[in-house]
Amino acid sequence: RARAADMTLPHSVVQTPIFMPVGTQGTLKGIIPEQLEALDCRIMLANTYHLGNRPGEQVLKAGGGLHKFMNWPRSLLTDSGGFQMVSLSKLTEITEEGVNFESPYDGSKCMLTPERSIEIQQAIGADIMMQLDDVVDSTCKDEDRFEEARHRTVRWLDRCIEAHTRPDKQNLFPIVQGGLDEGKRKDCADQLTKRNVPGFAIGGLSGGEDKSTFCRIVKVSAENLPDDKPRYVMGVGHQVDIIACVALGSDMFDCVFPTRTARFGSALVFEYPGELQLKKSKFKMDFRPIDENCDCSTCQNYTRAYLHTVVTKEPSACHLVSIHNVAHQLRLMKRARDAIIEDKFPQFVAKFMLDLYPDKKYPDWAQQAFQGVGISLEE
Amino acid sequence: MKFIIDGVAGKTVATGCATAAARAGQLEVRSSLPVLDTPAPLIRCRGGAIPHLTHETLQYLDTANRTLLIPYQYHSTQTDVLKAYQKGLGSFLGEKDRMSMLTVQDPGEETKSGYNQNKAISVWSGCNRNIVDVDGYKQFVKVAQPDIVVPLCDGDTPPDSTSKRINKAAKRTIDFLDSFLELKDENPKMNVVAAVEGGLDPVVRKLSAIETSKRNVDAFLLDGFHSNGTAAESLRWEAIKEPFLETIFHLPAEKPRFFLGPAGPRLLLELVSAGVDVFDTSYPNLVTERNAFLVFNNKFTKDWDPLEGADNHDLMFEKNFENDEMKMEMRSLVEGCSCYTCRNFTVAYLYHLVHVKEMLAKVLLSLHNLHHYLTFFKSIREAILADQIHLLHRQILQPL
Repeated sequence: RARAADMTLPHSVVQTPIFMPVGTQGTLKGIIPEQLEALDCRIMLANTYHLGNRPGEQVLKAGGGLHKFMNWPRSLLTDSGGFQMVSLSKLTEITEEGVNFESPYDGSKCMLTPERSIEIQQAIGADIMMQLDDVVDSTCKDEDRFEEARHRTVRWLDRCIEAHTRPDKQNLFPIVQGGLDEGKRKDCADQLTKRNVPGFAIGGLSGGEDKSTFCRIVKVSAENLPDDKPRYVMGVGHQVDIIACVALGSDMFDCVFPTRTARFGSALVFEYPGELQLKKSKFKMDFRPIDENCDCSTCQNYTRAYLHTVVTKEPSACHLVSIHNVAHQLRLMKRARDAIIEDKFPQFVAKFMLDLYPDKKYPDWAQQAFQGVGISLEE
Repeated sequence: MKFIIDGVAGKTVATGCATAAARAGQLEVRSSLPVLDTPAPLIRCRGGAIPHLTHETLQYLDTANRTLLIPYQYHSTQTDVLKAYQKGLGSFLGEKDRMSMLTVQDPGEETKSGYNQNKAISVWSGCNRNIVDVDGYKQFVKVAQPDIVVPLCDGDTPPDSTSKRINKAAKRTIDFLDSFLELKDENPKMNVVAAVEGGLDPVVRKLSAIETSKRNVDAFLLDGFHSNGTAAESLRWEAIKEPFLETIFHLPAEKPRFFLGPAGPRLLLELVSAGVDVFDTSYPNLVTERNAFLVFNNKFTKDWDPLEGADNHDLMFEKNFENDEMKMEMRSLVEGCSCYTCRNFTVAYLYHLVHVKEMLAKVLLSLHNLHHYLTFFKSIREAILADQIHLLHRQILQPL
């Protein structure tokens, strides 16, 4: 089910499957955009909720949109602001009109409606923008809430489409909801598919649900979306999760994990255990780069031993590991993509998993997910 | 180390005063690398890195053939690592193609006073103190392989120091120097920048200078005038002039003079005019740390007519982002500045980054501030060669 494709956006052509690093506040932690260009990153994320507050719509408009403001010439994707509101705000009340919440900055009452979300996202000017959806935490036990949410999501999509005045410059993606119920998911996907949209996102996951459920729902959601449009699984993530989702038919991913973990001195690698905690004393005399096969500027110029002396102490250490971690994720996606194109994806997955789990004690959920699409791992 | 003087400012006076004049020169340390035009700043490192910059982002700054200044205090526990690494400290820090100079204390971070011992110096890294004697220091130097090195020295002589402290610091430093020079016997190519101490006591300064000059060293570091860090930014020339010049008068003119510490434009010009050749970038680093950017006039206008000047002695050399009007300002930090930040980003974007406390703020501010300071050095050199350095003292006070 894995696919590789070229997605042409106003600011760049993106080759999928693709991982999108997250530059929450209009910047990727300490990284100059040109450095991302050097890694051949074609698209990154920014958060509407944060940017809508600071610097705010007015400044962004005056600055000519976020691309110009932050000096990033390639593509951007913005989320709707909905998720942060629910997760960051202490008091949120969701009504048919929109989301009523208390600003964490000054406690004032704000309302985010589908129309308002589109307005802010248009001021930002991202190549891809997300609808405002009614997102419910996947661990919620109230089935009625999920039912209400997925119907409202469809209604809000229509309001977003109505409010969107620049479909030629910005692509609006709907988000499939429906909690952890396959039927609800299928129905939601069907509804969204009826609208004329350029791509789809699968949301409401990456919360507290267990991994096998997660895979089941991603599979069902992807299966019921048209083949000829991109599928974006929001908030994914760790290496194995990404590859599993690719196997299940997804194309786009985003997660703060690589850049967040860099701040704590953790570097991503392909071999077991998948992450190097560079603060650990075992790296004191390790004069190898993080990854001998990586051509990022960190691996070209610095050793693990050096990074061991500076991580969590000097800000530039965070930049160095972030650059590597983004490079790693992009390389992972490129390897997956090349394998798909050469029709060797199952072999790629088998090797990828073996490198991470040399003792072959693969996580059950992953093994099952791969088996479900006809990929067997090495025993 | 080869030092060639291209030009000296002012009239040559046939007394000791001849050595207290601004010089423009060329410093060759490694014959395989281009020479360094002086007056020049070393790129100061902190904690094993150039603050906020990496090997990659350093390329956005024009730092061709610039030398790193690496303070030993951050690396005092790394002798064993460097010994195993074998390729030297500069390479360890990711800059194998640059020259490096090792000094004891970081000019950009305040050095705690009162912790030195009879035969050993205290160095701090974070909250950890390490005590190092000459042998320990020599062992480190052997594995660090710096191109230029300051021997272990005692510069702990704040303004209120007793005569006893000052004399101790000076004598101890000479003893350390003599022991350290045994390394130079083994490695004649090693470039030694000897520290000259004496606090603010002109008599001790003169003696130190004379004694140090007798030794086989390549250059001199005028040390002990401050305790490093932000506090040292308020150092005034008037407060150190007499002991400083006493030192200069008794140092040979043909060897380079180093001064390490945050030197803003005013102090920098005084030190240059007194005959100092090499400095460091701790000043622009400290400006960055307070989320500010340099704005003073760093250009040299040849044949400028002083009568046209509108000197503003209250002129701020830097600006910060406290003015909320900057929120919507879509211009560059400094008009006409050719640094990477000014060419690609606006005041409004930097305002945003600073106010949401994003790391990129200090990266971009560093690029601007270092560029601004480095450009000033180019202007200084031009002014000396045109014999118009006295005009520069006033040009920095002109509105941009």
